[in-house]
Amino acid sequence: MKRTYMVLLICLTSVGLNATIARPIGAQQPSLSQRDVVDIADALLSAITRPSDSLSRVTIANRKIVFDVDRTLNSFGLPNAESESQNLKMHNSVLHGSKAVLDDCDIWGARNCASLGWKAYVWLTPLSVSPDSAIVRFHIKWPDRGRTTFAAGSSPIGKASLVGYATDVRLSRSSGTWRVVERIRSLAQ
Amino acid sequence: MRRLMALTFLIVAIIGCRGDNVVSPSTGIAVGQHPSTDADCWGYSWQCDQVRAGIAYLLQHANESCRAAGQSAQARYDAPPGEAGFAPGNAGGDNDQMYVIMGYPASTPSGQGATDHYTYMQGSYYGLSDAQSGALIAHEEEHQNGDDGINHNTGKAQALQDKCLNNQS
Repeated sequence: MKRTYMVLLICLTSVGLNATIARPIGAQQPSLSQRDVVDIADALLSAITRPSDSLSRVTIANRKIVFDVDRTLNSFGLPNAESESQNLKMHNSVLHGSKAVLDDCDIWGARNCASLGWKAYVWLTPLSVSPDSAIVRFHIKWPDRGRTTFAAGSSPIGKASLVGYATDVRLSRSSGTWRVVERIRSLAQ
Repeated sequence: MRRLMALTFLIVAIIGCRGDNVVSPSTGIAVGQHPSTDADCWGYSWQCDQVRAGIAYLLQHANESCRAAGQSAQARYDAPPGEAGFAPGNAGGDNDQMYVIMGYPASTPSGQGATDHYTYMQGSYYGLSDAQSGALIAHEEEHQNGDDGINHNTGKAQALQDKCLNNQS
């Protein structure tokens, strides 16, 4: 009987440790401020979404980026941004939006994806965070409109397939500034 | 009373001890539980079933490119563990698509680089038709063979997915 209790105790301890280790980062006490997260987003957007780069043959300068700041902040365990907060101004030129922009998109090319139009939707999730370093997953999705040619100022017509990727990036902070150290891996979808 | 407590502990312990998290080979990505009792299956049995059905669909496809994608996916499926394969994935985010991991150095941001040869199945891979499963597998095979990078600029991955979705293409 003693042996049974010992096994149970070990298992329960293991369960407890497991629960502690496996707890999503968003549920932990945030170690970064909203300003930090927005600065990280700026560093990543500058490094990854350069205006001259293309996504499905349309430049990012033409597409524009929709950044989901609240989804990002929430994933870091932080509250939503207050609207028009001066403290959370970004250096990169982005539009702000939520996941709702994907509502009429799918991966099968069966819907118009009109809310997103030509734009690309971006959000971040933390993988590992400390006050001066972080590994963050950068998510981006956009509509692939096949042979439809981009035309500035006009809404795209026709169906689109939602495609995208995620990329894991290591950042560090020195002298108060977050910088990209390296891209670790990417996940194409 | 002691028996009741022991029974309660036992149930909790059994549930807790079953929850072994596993990590995908070479990527370090947490892939959730691995409860399959099928020795040949790398994930949930439904994931393996669905991949096998998708590959079988591709192998019988009317289009040669889709059949070729099916053959390379079959080779990936049959590869020795650690070299290539399919695996359950948890890339976070919307959890609505398959992913293939593509490792590349920071100096090549286009993502045209060597992959880790694994194709990862996201959570809502569940419930797809054989044609949808096959079409997604074909899409990922285009990434795997280097014909399309993460920016999808050649359009080949999406084009093959569209082509293979219809068995008459």
